[in-house]
Amino acid sequence: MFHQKSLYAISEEAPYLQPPPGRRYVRSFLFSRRVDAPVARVHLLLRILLVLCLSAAQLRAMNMTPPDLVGALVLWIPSIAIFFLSGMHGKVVRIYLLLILPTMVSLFLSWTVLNPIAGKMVFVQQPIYPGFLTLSLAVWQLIWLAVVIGYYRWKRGIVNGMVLATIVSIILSYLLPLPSWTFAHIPLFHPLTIYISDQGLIMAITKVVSYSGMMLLTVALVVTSRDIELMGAMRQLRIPNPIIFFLSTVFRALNLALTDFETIRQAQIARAVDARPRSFIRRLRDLASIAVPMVAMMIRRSSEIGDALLARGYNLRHKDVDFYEKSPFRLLDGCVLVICLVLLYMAVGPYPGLTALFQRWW
Amino acid sequence: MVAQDFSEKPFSSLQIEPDAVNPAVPSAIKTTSLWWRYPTFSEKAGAWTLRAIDLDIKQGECFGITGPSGAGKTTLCRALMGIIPHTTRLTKEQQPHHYRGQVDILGEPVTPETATSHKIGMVLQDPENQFLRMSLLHELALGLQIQGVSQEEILQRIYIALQWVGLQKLWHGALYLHPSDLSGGQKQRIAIAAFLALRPEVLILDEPTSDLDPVGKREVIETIARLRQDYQMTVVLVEQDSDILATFCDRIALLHEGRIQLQAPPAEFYAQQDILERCGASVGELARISWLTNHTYQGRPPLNLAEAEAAFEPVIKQRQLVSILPIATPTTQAEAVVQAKDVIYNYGDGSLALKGVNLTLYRGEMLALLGPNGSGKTTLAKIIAGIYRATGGQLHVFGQDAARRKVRSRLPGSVGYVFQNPDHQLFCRKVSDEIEYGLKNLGIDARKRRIIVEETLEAVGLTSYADEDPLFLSKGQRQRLAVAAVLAMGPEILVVDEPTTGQDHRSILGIMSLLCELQRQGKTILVITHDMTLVAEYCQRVVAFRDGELSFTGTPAELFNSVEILQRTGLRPPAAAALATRLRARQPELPSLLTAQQWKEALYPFHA
Repeated sequence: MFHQKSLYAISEEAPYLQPPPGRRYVRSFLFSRRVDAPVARVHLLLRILLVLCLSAAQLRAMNMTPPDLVGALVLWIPSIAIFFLSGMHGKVVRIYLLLILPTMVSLFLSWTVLNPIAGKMVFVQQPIYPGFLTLSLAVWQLIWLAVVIGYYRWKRGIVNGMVLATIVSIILSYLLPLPSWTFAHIPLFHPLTIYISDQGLIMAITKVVSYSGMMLLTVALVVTSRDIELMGAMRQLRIPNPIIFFLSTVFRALNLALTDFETIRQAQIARAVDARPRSFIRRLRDLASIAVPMVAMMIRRSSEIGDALLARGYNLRHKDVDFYEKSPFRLLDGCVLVICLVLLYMAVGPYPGLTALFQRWW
Repeated sequence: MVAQDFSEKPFSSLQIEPDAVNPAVPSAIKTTSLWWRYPTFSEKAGAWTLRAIDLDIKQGECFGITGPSGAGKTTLCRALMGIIPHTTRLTKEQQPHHYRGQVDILGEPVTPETATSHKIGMVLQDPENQFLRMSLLHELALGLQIQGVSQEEILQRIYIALQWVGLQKLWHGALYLHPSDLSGGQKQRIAIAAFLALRPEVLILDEPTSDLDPVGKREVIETIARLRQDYQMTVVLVEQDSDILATFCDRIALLHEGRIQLQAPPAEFYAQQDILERCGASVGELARISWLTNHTYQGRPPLNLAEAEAAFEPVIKQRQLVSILPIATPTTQAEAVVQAKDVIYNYGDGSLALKGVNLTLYRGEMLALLGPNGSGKTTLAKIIAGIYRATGGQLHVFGQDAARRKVRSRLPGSVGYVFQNPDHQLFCRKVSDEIEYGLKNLGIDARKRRIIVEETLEAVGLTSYADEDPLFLSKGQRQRLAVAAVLAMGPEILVVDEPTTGQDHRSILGIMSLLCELQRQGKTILVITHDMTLVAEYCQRVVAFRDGELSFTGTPAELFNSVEILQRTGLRPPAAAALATRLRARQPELPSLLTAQQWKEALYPFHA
């Protein structure tokens, strides 16, 4: 494996292995990546291993007690570096960052608010749920129901009626002492308190840093990988030919399915699917109805793909040869392997965490 | 029951042997009384798809097969490959009920191994479905990899194959070229090259040009011509386009309802007007002019422009020709239904699909949007239908600004868009539900919906299929259902994307007569097409696109009669117009003739 001539060395002589003149991007599993993306120079198997080890180390950093914030921040640097060196198109980078940002904000808020962790300093402490459900009947409930029914009869609308009923009930409860009758308390879950301490904040920041790093790494891996690389890596792992061939055909079929999906979605718009505001359920049903033409297309396509495969001589017993699929391992891959081992030690080895080490040194 | 089926309907097929075919040349493909019918999931046996097919295709011959949709052409190709019956999982007991007869390839009977033997290759209609890998290099190498050929030999053979199909320019960077980086014509030529690399002795091409634009078509045709001239390969060419068949084939067979109705060299083949008309076969415009005017070249219809020129020059010299009134074009006094001003559309990656298009559409006109793939015609049509939002400029549809989201979302009620492939636009499991789907989306009440569904089904002749699953309708029926589902929404403008691609002559006539009827009712029709005969026969106005810009707006006569405009737009005139242009060089008084019917009217005004 190691004595094979490097793909990059061959490509200098072979025009078919060089990017087409003027071409900057090449298609990958998702979207495309720069032809000369630095991360893509690492062997796919090593890239996968690197992502796994780095993610494992990040998981360890956030699961330590106390959380290893310094470790998480240090590990976040290679994650973000790999993301930016993956050769993704600037527009795609922005889309992913925009998607990740609200996810991280909501993770930070929910973790901070709903996970009380004792700390030296407490910023907020507010009970919000006593740990049991109260079964009761109140006059405000009857008012609420009456407003909803009245609004429905008047306007044939539910949501606006519920909003109006809620506002009316709150105002009346505030202004008037409305009676209520309690029947029972049913224990459910445990009491919830908004409890924000210094340790809670550190934990939330560690989680956000680690999860965002893991997300960026995964995206970078998927965006930089080409199906040809995966086929080659599977060959090197000696996975049986029919499985490799099946996966290769699946990737191509998925590519066709994506094109079909786009056209079908446009056909739905042409049939006024967006003409009126629709409920969430209705939107789900619209999405589900795409399955009918998708399945029809896939059935018709699969028949032709089957014929095309047969015509090329494919059968389950064939043993095909490698043709510029396997990528030889190089010195760079060896360096990445060493980094993976260090990360693996940080993930599972007897290691107190970078925060603890820093605290010891200073 | 089987015996009874085999002896049904005595029929006669006409077979004219060419002088050039030497009986001593060994057969490449020979079928003897080949019968086939597909297995069904019910007790009742289905109809025979192939009936008593007898073919003897000689080595080195280019043999054409034509016929209307559903005649069994693709099934015959699959049988020649051995895919039928050997991959259908029929038991030995079941096989005689479905398959009879004998197929020999290069003197040996077809076996389960024939399809994978590389003696024979098959290029399919849709270039997408046969591109099996994600890079050009691996796509070309696939068959050879399966054969276990060494890396050096694979490289050598695929490079030669690329040269054969004239695509050696793609060799640089072949590892990085994804299927979506290639045009339809290039994909089809790659499919041919992938088989050429396997060095087959017989190559079957199943409608290889029907899904392509004129540029792609020309590329594939040139490749087939090269295969014929330089490599003497046996080629079986299934095609609707009579010009291609007449140019390249030594013999042509007409398949109709599973039977070979006619088998002859091109000159004799297109002289059999009765059989060709009865079977609904597609014939070229020159043959149609000859049939309509009874002027022939050496006693048969001309097959190319040179022959047509020779046939018609003496006639137009002798006759006083009547000038033909051009198809009425809408005046600017007609109501403008769509007004586009400097419309720009930007793809996500920053490239421009439309670079400032100005266009006005008038009520009641049939307008053709022309241009090569990627020139921007479909993008503009989708913007008009509210599917895309213009990145810049102004677009008013019925006076409303289509930049507003609310206007765009309601546009499907006034602008209908029929996609090229009906399978992309059928969402329901019942024909009647399919018609109702768009009506529900528009918020039409149930009682009114029921009435519209009934009326629409009646109008397109699908009432008896109201409870059927659309998936089980024939392609022609699905196409009508797709049009009906859009029509039911009551659009005033109808956009039809490539309505005639891959269709036989009768289907084309059916679709176009429906569109003409809608136009008579006052609807505005926009046809996106590559079919210049359709443009000349039906459209009042033409808009040609090139590289995201309008390269011409005017009438079909202005387009097809001007060499300068044709060069600017990169379009080719239909054969009838091209013939008139060539003859006008010698007879300047010859009027503008764009269609076969106009030729008839010019030569025989009283008969017309």
